[in-house]
Amino acid sequence: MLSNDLIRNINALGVLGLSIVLAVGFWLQFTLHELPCPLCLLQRVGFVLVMYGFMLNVVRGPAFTHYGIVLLSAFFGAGVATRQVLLHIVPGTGTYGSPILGLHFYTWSLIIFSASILAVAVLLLLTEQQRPNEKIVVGKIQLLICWTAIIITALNAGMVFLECGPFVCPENPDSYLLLG
Amino acid sequence: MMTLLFLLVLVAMVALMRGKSRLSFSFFAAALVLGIYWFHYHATSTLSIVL
Repeated sequence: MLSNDLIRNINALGVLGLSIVLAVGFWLQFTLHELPCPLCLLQRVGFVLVMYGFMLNVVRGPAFTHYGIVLLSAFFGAGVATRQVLLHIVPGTGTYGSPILGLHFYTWSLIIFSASILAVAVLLLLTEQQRPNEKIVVGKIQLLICWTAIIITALNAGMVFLECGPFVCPENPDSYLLLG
Repeated sequence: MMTLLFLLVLVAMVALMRGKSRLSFSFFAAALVLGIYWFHYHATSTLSIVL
């Protein structure tokens, strides 16, 4: 068994890793001028939901409920990513967006969601259930990581509003609705 | 409408940091349910595979 402090640090690393994934998505979106499709956006929603589950472990201490939230979120994201992989799996059916290190973003998403599920399985083996009155002290770096995740989520909300406005996002977006 | 999903998770995260757990869980649940609804809404294209 690992100490709860160490488990919380590992969860904080998970939050940081997913923040970096979302930041890379942003960077590709703005440097390659590729707008995310609705399924791509739903995968990003999956990432922020998984981040939320890991954040729960960081802020409130490791608990089975929090891991359940990570698993539900990761299965949601993996479902969306699988759908998009299957859309393009047959040769000649095209792709969406540019590949990163040889794989498309939706394939990376599926790998990352699967890795999150695997990580939860390992962490559950190593986690001691939180004692009811155990005091949780959130460190400065953990706080910084959590607020970074919150800022990334807020930036995503703003970007999606620029792209789709208050309406349903188009299947193949080619411009930001609110930027003309 | 997709913005709403991110906003719901954003509120859930901020509520968590402010110590309002029940509110936080409610917003998470709403985001997940709405996410599944939007996934069903957007998963319209026919897959070119036969399982």
